[in-house]
Amino acid sequence: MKHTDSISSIQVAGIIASTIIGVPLMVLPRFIVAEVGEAAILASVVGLILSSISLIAITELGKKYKEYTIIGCNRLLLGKYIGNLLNVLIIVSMMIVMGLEVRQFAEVLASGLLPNTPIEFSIIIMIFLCTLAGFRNVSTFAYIHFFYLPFLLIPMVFLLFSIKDLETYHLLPVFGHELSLFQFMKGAFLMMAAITNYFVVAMLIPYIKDHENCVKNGIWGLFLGGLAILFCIVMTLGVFGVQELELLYWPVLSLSRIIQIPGEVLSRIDAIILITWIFAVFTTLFSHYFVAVRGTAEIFRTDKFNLISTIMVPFIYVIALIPDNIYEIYDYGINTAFFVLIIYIALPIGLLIIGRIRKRVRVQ
Amino acid sequence: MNKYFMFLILVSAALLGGCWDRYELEERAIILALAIDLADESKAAEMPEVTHGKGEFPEQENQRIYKLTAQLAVPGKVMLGPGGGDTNSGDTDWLLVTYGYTMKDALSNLQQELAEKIHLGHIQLIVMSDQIAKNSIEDIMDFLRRDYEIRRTAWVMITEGEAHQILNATPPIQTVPSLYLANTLKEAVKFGKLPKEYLGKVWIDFSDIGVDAIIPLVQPMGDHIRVEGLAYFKEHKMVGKLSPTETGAVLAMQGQNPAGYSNVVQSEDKSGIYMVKPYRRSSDISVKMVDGKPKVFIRVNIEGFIEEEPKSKNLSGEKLEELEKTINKMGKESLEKLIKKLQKDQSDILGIGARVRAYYPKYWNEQIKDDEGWYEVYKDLDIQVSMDYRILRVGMEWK
Amino acid sequence: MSPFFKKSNHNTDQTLRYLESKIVNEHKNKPISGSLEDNIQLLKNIFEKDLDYSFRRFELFNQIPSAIIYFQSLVDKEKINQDIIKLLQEHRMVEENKDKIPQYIIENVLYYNDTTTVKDMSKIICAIMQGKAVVFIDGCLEALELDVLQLEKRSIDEPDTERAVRGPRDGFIEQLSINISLLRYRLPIPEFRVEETEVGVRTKTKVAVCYIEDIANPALVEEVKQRIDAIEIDGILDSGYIEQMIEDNPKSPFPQVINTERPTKVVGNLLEGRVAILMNGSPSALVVPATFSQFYQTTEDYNEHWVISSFVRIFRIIALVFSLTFSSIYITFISFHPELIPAKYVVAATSGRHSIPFPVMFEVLMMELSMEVLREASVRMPQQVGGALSIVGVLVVGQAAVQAGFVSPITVVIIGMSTIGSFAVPSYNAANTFRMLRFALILLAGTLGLLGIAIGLMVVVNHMLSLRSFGVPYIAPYAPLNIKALKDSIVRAPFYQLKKRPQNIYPQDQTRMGEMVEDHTDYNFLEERKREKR
Repeated sequence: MKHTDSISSIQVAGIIASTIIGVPLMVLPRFIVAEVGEAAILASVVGLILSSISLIAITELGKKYKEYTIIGCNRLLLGKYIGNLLNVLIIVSMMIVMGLEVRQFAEVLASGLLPNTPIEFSIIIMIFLCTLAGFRNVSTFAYIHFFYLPFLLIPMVFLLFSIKDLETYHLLPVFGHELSLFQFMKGAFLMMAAITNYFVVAMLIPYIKDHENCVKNGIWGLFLGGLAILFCIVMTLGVFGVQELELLYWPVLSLSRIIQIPGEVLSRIDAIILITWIFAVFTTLFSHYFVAVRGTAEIFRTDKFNLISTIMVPFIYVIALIPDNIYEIYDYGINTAFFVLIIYIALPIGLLIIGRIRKRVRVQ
Repeated sequence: MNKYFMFLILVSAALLGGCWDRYELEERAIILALAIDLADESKAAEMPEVTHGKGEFPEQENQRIYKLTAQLAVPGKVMLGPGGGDTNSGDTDWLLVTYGYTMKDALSNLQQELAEKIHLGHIQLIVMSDQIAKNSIEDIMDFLRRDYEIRRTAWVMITEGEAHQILNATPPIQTVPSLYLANTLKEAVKFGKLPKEYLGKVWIDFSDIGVDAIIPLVQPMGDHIRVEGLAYFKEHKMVGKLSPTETGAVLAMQGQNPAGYSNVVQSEDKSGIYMVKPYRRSSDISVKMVDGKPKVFIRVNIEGFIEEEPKSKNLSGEKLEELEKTINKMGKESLEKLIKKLQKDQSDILGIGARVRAYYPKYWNEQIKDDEGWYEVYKDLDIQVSMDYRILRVGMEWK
Repeated sequence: MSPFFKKSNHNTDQTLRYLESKIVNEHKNKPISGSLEDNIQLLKNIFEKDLDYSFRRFELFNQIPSAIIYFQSLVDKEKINQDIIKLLQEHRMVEENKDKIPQYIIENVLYYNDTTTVKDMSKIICAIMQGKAVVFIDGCLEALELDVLQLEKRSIDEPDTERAVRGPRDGFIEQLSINISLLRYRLPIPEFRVEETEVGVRTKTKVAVCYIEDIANPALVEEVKQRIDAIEIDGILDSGYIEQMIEDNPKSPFPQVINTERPTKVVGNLLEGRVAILMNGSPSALVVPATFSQFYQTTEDYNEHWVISSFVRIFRIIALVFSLTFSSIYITFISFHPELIPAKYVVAATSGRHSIPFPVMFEVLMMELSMEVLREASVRMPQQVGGALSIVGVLVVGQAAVQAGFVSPITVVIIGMSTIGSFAVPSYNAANTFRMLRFALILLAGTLGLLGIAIGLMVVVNHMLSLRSFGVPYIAPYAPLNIKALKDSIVRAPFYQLKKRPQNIYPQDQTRMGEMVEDHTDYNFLEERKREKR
């Protein structure tokens, strides 16, 4: 597609960081800890490193096929039919993940901030917010992510106020209690599943100015965002301990409720953390939506992004309302996340290999 | 631009449709404090049918009826700014009493009596009588944990006797009693008289394996209250109480700063009585495995100064060293006594179990496994205490 | 691209002809007649009824019948008498060829400098209308056009809307030539370009596009000229017309063009590589491209010490954010999330509110509305009355409203603060935008509480992030983040840090300052010299 837009690889890093800090931030500490106990920190570090392999594969793919998004790559390397089948799979999975995440968002609001506001309303208003931001301009997409990034990271400093409540015996032993490798890897996979959304990079490749630095800066972005998530895990685990964490639904929210700012300007800072988190949710959902809308547009070779994004609204809304209760949301969420994870890791690596084989065949 | 228009329609639809969560400040019954007492079984008959029909509450063992006393802020009685017009005499607070099988049951009954929506977001303290605490407070805590409005920074207290009497304290200096009460505890923490055990911390201690909770103990004194020390727990049951001096000892072992509580020391030759005030404490609780059994070393370092010496004016460098020796011996004895007491009641408020679990996971998983196992070990655990009290200053007087 | 370019499928010439004056159109490309009487008759037919139309016959060089035609109201009569008619009559002709007479007059007779020859009748008509005198010579196919325009001017005062404590006191006035002179004398360099175009088919307003040739990006200059040329309108009365027609997103409430009445501000922007648009008849100049950060900056920031300027800028931003969010945050705190207010205060706050019959949102909306009405009233009022009115409005009405139990005292404080905050923003149009958005935020906050504020702010921020002003991102240098340009954004770094021009407008010449010089003089060199003398 012809375009004059371009983004720098540092902006790509910003996009990755602000995308992966998102909806799961609130619940992630609980789920990882429930799985692996005190080894949560180690497991999430391992998860982060494993994720970076997938990210490297995506960016390497971008280096090779500078003109193509993942959608174009699929079509180029796998042929029209298989390629488009995979493309549809990607778009549908993005929509499902987005629907579930917006539902999670609404549930947190309903049980922590606005108990009487119908979740249907907060779901639809959030989807609308994403459509309002527009998809035509890739540089605007990058600006939005980059602009919000400091607003996502700075409020986390507030969590540092609780450092005096941190107990070292909550963090030890780092390998957890009687943990099998399988369980440990499940924790790592949870972390990976929570941050799969760096996949948005694959849709940005034709717009990146400097592909050479993209791998390096992409990893930086991943680690910046990952570090923020890790920080939340460390703080919640250190303050609450495994047993308390397992009881809490939204540990980060609970943590922000413990914090007292000296001077008592605000009596509770959970509002600030919640607003920050709403920003984070927006950037994450926006990325999902971006992939879905622009992907669909590329499949149909059109640039009617507004039309496509408006058509998608009811679908995402319906997906968001499918789960019956709060436990089901997370059941669905984790299952789709594992499924999505397999696509996102296997696809770029597979494409790289196919690309190499094809080249060799052509040479012969 | 169409989209902005649709967005606007969406918002105005919401505006017309509800503003679902808008409750003006004056439409909320702001509960500042809750006192929980045990009530007689006879009260069951008086209960209105709000959450359940008469006598239809599911039977279970250890059934208790709670008497809930809530303190509400009365709008319009507290004046804005200094003076603030004519004060219409009357209380600034309002006490309401309801009964219920559970917390929510009682609160639902309360809501039935109130026009405004109950708002727990400003709850300052929750007082429980020791009768409840001695049984178990798990069921009370569940509601408090589940409700999203309750702050984790609220204070929880235990009182011997009737809890609602605490709320009756109406000090002349503060406009709202519960603010005064919460302030009392907050200042006590600031002076090092109490550990920072607010609701959130208590919950964490309850959850943790190998840590037991402590909750401040207060006593009503007519129009004010007195901080009585600490109540310590075994799991969710209160098993004993600590006097202020013992509280000081616990704080010293936890190494909490700033330090509070002066101690009286008599010199060896009985020539003088010295009032020594600690101002900086640090401690180190370490666990070592000796012969396959955990052994605990608690080292306490305190720096202090002399506040008062009413009898003999004979302070000097040597005297101070002598005093330090005495106070170290004294301190060690009192600490050991305290630990014995805690061991006897099987209450691990220092979190020794959590440390064993953290540093020797293999031992823990093989030998101890859970809280029950730990209490068995804790009972006869070898705990070594050492104390290093240093007196640095003697105030404005040379001798 | 401006929306004016998008609809390129219609015929520009046709519209223009439709909009243009019919009389001028009739005479388009019509040469003047050789007969003096014909020409006089033609103009007389058109202007006969006009009070200030005048023509005077005289004999050129005492032999050829001629006439001078002008509008009395527009010209300097002294000049016509002394410098034109007198010379033309008294001179004795040397030139024989009649066709060369106009050229001869210009070269040998008149010492008047704004003189040209014209042949086209429509141009003559337009020229007369613009304050020129036209001399027709019998038997000659060219007429002389002499610029004798004289208009009443006001003095070059400090502009009322952009006051400064420190800095030059001159401001633009309505006459373009004087405004350009104010720029020229500050920029005495050959690279300073002032290109003239005409906008408005009927008003024929002169518009000048100013830029510094070796700094401004040629693509930017080209784009500006294109957009101005694309304007099709009968008339423009102020530069605000041009502003609205050349901005990138006409639907956006945010100002995308800077307007200023201070020549120093224009010169400063020209030196950064921007393009200024001045217009005859309007004292405010336009500067493009604009970024949002320029709307809370003033030229004074560069005159004062950088620490102080940075300090002031930070407060301006706080004021801006205050004016946007303060009242809506108040609503959420009081009616949605009272748990966020410190407990000591919440008890007092209920007391302040318990007799108020309205919900907070309604109370705030009402107060904001009355504040807007008051503001508008005091702008329109004569200055002498305005002051008294605002005192009555703020003190008396506010006090009475509180005592009557109509609004709570806290609300009055909040509204007061947010209103004052909006006045602390130096740019009037940016402040207006934020005041308007404040109402939207109040509604959102009153509906959805904290979520409403977050959503509202995100809609505003996302919109700002998607804006471009002449290809420059509106929120630059924050997004895209440019660390170097941040030195002159919320803070104003010392001059030795600002060696480069702002990168986001892609100037051709990037360096604007030399290196720092090392100071070799001794710390107390004055004392030292005195000692040497001794």
